[in-house]
Amino acid sequence: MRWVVILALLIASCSKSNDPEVIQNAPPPIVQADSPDVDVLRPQTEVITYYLHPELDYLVPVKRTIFTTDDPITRIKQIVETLSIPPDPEQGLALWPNLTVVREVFMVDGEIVIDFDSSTFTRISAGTTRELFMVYSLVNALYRNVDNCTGVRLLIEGQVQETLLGQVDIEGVLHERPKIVLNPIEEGVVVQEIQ
Amino acid sequence: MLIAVICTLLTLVESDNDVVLYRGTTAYPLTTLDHPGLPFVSVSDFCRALGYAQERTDQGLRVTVFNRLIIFETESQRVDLGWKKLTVQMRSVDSVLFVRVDHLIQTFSEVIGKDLIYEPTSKSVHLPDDKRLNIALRTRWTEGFMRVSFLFSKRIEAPNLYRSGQFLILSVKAPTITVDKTYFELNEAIEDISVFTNLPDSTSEIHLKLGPTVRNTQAEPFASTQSELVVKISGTFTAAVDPVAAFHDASAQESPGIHRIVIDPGHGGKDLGARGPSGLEEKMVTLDLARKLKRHLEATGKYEVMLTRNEDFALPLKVRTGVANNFNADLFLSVHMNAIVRPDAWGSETYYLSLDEQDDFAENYTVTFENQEDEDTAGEDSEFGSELDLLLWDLAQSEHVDDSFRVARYIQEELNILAGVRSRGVKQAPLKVLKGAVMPAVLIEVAFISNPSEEKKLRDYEFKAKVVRAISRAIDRYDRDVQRRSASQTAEMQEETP
Repeated sequence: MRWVVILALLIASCSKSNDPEVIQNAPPPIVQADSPDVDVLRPQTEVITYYLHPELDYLVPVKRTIFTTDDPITRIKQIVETLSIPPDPEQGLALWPNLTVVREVFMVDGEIVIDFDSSTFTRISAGTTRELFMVYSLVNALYRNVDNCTGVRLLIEGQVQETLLGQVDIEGVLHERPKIVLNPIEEGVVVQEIQ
Repeated sequence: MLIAVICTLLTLVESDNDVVLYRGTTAYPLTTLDHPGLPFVSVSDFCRALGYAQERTDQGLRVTVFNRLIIFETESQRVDLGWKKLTVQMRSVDSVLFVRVDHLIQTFSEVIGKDLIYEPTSKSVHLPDDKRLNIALRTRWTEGFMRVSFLFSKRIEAPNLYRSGQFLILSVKAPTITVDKTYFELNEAIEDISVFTNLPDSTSEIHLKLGPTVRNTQAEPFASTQSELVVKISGTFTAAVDPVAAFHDASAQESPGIHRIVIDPGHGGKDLGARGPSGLEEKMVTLDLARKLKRHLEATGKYEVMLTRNEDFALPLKVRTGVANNFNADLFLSVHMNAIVRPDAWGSETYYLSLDEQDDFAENYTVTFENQEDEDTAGEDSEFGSELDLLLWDLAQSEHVDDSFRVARYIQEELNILAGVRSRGVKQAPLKVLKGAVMPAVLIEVAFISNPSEEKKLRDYEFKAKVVRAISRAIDRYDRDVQRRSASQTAEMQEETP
C-alpha cells in the first residue's frame, strides 16, 4: 500500500513538472521558507559610512556590513544603498532618501562617477546644511571604503549639474572633507548590521 | 577638401521641405535652407508673413517692427535690437538672408514680447494669435531722470496717461493686457506697480506708485503709428546715474565703502527650495525677505540695491553671480532658509565660500582677521597649485574670502541679537552661488523652515522686519569697516611718502 502511494505521488509530481504555468503559480515549498536566506550565507564585510549626528552639525561614522565583492562598482552601489538606510536613531540620521536611484556607476583611474536618477532629489526638502552633509557623507564614505579613490563626480540623468539641491557645488571633482566628521572612527563604535 | 566643400554646398540648397509659419490658423510657407541641425529660414518671408517692413542694406537687412528697428548684420553674424545685441547664425544666398530658425524666433520674441514657438517634428513656427495687448516695461536712468518706456505689442489708440496723487496711471483701450516686466526693476522713482484689467469701460490700467522724491512726470508725444510711449520721471534720486557710465567710472570716482548691493532670493520658479511642515515654500520667503531688505536698504539713501529676481522664476546660479558682477556690486547676499532631517533644528547661520577641502566647516568664531588671513593664504597656495580641475572662474571669489568672512561675521552677530534666534555660527562651504562673485559674497540661512515653530516665525511680518533690520545693521557695520580700513591704508601710504 505504501509503495502505491509513493508511486502515485511521483506520477503526480512528474505531470506537474511538465506544466510550466502550474510551476509558476505554485506556492514556494515549505522547506524553503524555513531555510535560512541564501544571501545571509554570502560573506560579508564591514564598511564605515556617515550619517548626521542626532544633535550636532557633524557627520558621525557608523560601521555597517555589506556583501563582500571583488567588483568595485558593486561595492560602490552597496555603499550608496547603505547611506540611504537609516541606522539606529541614536547613532545618526540618514541623509540620503530611501528612494535613492542610481542609474550608473563607473570608475576611471580612481575617479568614481555616480549618475543618479533625477527622481532621487524631487521630494527632498533640504537647506544648505543637509545638502552639504548629504554630498560629503557620500564622498567621504567612498574615499574611506573604495581603494584608490582619487575623486568623485556626481551626475544627474547623465548630465553635469551645478548642484544636487540648489546650493552645494558638484560641478567638478569632489574630494574628501574629513573635518565635517565629528570623530575619527575608533574601536568600540557600535556596529550596525543591515538585514 | 573638395568633397567637404561640395557637401557644404549641398546642405545649403533650398529645400522642398519648407518651414511653415502659422499665425493663428493661417499658414505661411517660408523659404528654407536645409542644414545639418536646425533649418535656416528666409527673414524676408518671415517678415512678410508678419507684416513687418524690411529694407536690404550693404551690411544685411533692416526690419521695422512697429517703431523698433532690428538690424541683421551678415558679416558680424549679429542682430542689433537697440537695447541689446544677439549673436545669430545667418547665411546670405542669392541676396536672400537666411537665419537659423531658433535664432530668428529668439530675436522676434524679444522684440514683439510674445513667445514664438518652433515645432521641429512638423517644421512649423507658431505665433499665438493673441488678442490681448502685451505691454513691455523698460526703465533706464539717463541724464538725471528715470526714463520709462511702455512698448505695445500692437498698434493702439493713444493711451491716456495721468497723475493721481502718488500714482502715475496709464489707461489703454483693451479689456485684457499682459505686462512684461523682464527688463523692469522697481527703483526710487517707481516703488510699486499694479495692473487692473477688465475695467467697466473695457479698459485696462497700469498704476505706477511714484517715490516720495519724484517732482515731475512728462510724457513724450504719442503718434498712432508708434507703439511706444516714453515717460520721463524727474526728481531727487540717489541712483540717477547711467549704470553703464557708473560701471566704468565706479572705481575712479567712488569713495571707499559699500555703494551697490545685489540681493539674491534663493531658488524660484520650479525650484521651490525647502518646504515647511505646513507647506511654506522657501522660494517665496526668500523673495519676500529680499524685497523687504531692498526697500529698507534703499530707504537709508546710502545703497543702490538690485535683486537677482524680483518675481517667482528660476534662475541658474551662475546667472545670479553674473547679475552682481555686471552691476559692479560691492556686496552679494544670497538669502535662504535652512532645512534638515532633524525637525527640531533651529537658528540662523551664515556661510562664505570654501575653496579648500581642509577648511573648517564650523568656523572658529574667535579667530582674528589677521590669523584668518594667514590661514586662508596658506590654504590657497597649497591648494591652487595642484587643483587642476578648479576652473579659473571659480577663483574669482578667492580674493574676497577675508572680506566675505567679515560680512558673514557681522551678519551672524546681528542675527544673534534677535530674540529667539539661535546662532549656529559662521561657516565655510563650497557653495555654487558664491563662486564667481568678484566681490565679498555670503549666503544667509535665516532660520529652519523645516522646524514647525520657525516656519511659523517666517510667516510673521514682525519677525521678518527684525531680520531685515539686523542684516541692514550688519551691512552698515561692514560699510564703516571698509571705510575705516581704506582711511588707514591711505594714512599709511601718506606716512611712507617722503
